[in-house]
Amino acid sequence: MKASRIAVLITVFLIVFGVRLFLAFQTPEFNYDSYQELRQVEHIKETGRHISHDPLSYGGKDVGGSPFYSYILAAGTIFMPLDITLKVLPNAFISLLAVIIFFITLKITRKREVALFTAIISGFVPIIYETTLYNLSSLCLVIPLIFFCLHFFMSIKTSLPWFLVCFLALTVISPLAFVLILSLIFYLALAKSEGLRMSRSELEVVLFTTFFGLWLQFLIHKNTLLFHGSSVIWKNIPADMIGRFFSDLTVVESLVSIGVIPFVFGVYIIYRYIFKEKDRAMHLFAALAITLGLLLWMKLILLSTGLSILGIVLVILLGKFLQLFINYVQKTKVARYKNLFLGVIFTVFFITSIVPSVTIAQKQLVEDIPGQDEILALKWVESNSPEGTMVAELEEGYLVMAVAHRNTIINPDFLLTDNVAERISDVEEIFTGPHKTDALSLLQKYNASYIYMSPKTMEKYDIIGLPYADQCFPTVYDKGVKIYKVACRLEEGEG
Amino acid sequence: MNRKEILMVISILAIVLLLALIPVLARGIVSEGLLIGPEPYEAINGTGTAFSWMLGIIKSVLGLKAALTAAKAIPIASIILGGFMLFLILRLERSRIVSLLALTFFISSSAAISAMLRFGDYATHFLLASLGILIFTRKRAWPFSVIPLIIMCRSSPAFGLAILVGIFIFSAKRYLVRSLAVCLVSGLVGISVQGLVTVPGQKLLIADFGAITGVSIFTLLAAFGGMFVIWNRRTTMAGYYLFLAAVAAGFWLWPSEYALLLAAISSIFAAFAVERLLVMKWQFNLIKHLTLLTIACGVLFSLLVTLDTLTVSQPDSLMVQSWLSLSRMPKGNVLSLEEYGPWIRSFSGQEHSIQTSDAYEIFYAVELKKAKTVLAENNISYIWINDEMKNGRIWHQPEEGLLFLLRNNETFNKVYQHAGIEIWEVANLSLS
Repeated sequence: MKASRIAVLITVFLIVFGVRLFLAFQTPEFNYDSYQELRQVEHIKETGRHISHDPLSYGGKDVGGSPFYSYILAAGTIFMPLDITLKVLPNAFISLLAVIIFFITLKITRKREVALFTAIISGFVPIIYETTLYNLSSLCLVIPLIFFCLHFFMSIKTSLPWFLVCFLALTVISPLAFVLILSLIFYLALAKSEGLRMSRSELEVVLFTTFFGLWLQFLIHKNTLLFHGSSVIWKNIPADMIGRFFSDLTVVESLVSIGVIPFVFGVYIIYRYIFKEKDRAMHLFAALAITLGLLLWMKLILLSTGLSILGIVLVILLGKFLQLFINYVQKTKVARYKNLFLGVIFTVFFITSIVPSVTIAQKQLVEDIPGQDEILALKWVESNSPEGTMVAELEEGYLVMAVAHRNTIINPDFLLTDNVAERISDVEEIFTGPHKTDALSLLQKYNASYIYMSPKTMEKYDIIGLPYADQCFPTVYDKGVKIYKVACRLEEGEG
Repeated sequence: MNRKEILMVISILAIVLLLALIPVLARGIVSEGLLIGPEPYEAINGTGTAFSWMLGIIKSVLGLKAALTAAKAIPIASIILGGFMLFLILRLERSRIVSLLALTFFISSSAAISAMLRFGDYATHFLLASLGILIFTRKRAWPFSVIPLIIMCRSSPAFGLAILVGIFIFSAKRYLVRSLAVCLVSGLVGISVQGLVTVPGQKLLIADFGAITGVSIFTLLAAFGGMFVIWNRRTTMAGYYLFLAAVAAGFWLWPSEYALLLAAISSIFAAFAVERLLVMKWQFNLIKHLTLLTIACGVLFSLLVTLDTLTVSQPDSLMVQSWLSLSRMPKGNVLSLEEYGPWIRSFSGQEHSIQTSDAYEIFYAVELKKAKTVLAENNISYIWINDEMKNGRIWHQPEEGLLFLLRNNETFNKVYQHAGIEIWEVANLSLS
């Protein structure tokens, strides 16, 4: 590789990484969902082992899922302090997308300018900012790994070992390896139906990845699969909440989440290469886009996750569109305005992708990141109250466990748990129910001794405090966040 | 069959027999060799199936202990023999490698292992079906095939129907008269229309998702591959596709009866796929070996999951100890979970007869008067409770429903307590 190309690539990576880091360091905190990962990393750092049985979650339960990503983040803490590592590493991983998108697009289009343009675009897909900027989710590493695998798959004869390494890493980190497996199977079917000559090496690799990926997932998630069966796909989310995570895919939402330019031109390229032209590489990415579309439509993948991967696929397909567009314009009388057209496309991209990405980051800072008042309140709980169970809203469960180190009745990890819907309804009853005796009965059921009420909880239930608060529920902390102590017990009468 | 082939078949059967014996031996240590699940005990007490007929005869001639031993041995022998017959049937027309692979996939399936260790009825049905089909393929002995087939159809009409449909599909082209005669005689004599009316059940298909009568997902995936692999020969192989469709439809209606058949037909398709993987020319030899190794590991993984599940299945020795203690008490009706009924009847000799709705009305009763009324209506003398029931299966709180009412020592006396198991005698049901 030429030195100039390396320099350009490093520059692109640094631009994307720099912007992300600047936004990420606007707050020292993470979003509510990240605090479980934070606990895992802290635990690995302290003990060298991950939490496999969590005594603070649901009164004590096994933790499902793969811990490998937590180990990778914990390994980073050898070189940097924990808070810096957790900001830098995930953002560095996801910024690698720009590098791999550059190589993929270069392979597809053979045009360096186009590859560079799409590499920059891939660093500013709004939905990726939403799912990864303040989040310690493994998506930060999984999404680049999927595209590394696809890059090596495109030249499988020479890149088999690299493909195997990336696929192994992807499979041990996340069940999203299934998305790649399904899309490769779909690609073979598509190629066969289009009459493209089937490459034997591709067929062999798809066969292997299918069986190996499946086997490894069964090994890693054995307990979870045996506990929930096939419903593990929906993460044991209660039926009335499932729509929040696996909601319907709409065109408007896709346009906003992915960006207008990649969405419109990417969809056009899928249409063109499915119905009009034959190209192996285009079929590969079209197969991934269609697989994701189907998974989203059938609600088999989280909406945010599906849209994040789909967004990057459409960016790659946009690269193909730009190549075709430049080739076409150069053959016409308006060839001299080529740069003007590209400028218009970039302006529209700036308005519909970069601006929304920054806006999303600002919005998340306000809505999804716990405020300092919440952190201070939970630290107060940790130092001023005995260990026990604390009632907190579902989304705040991880935060309570990570900062206050208190047991929670509910948190967003529904796997390997019974009666989730009942627990959610009980917590809601504690916050909103009018009767003190009902609340006391429920608090005794879970042996809870404190109630944590954040401004977010008050806003959610439209309350300013516990409706039945009296001397049985003294307010022990009231600085924006309210913390109530449970001071009474119900006594059973003889029946 | 040559010597090498015989040796391979014996090796496969011996390995599977050894694997199947793991839960038996493990239970010998942890649960004193108790049979797994309620089904064998239902078979010992019940009538109507070939397996229960055999156990009934052994019990009446040699006693309960011999019947319990037979309940362990007969299903294992049935699946091993049935599997060997499946191999011989396939061997008649197909290649040696396909027959061997199909035998391996089938006999290591969760459905076959569960049939050996728990679902004795299905194991004997499978043996009778395999025997019937094998005799049917013989030149002169074929009329005798109706004997095992009739017994099988009487024993399980749903299973019998599938086998007869299968025989007809596979052989109508070559032996129209023979297949018509056998199917009609066996069907008319063996199957009663009422027997087919079974409540459709919802069971899991995939062993890796916890189904103990299912098939490994790797066998299923390979079977899908097999369907594509032999598609070029679809005119000669139509019987396999039609039989698969019939079995899949049957599985939808009668999942437990058809699980074993589905395992068998999936194994055959999977065998075709793996045979292709073995003979095809690979560009990456490493990938070939890794793929075959992964399939083998996958099937083995499913098998181990099933063995693990079966090993820790109920009943355990502590439960049996409590029931033996109950057997020394005066005769009466016992209230407990419905699924414990066959064990309670077998080990304690007490009655277990109550409507599920009444049982739950008592479990969740908050008024003693109401509980007494339902207890009296059902003539309940004992209440059998264990930790599983107290920890979420029935109750979620320590003093919920009946657990609170049991504190009333005028009505209930605790007559047994050990390792979380309690037996309460219902002493006084007067409402005054």
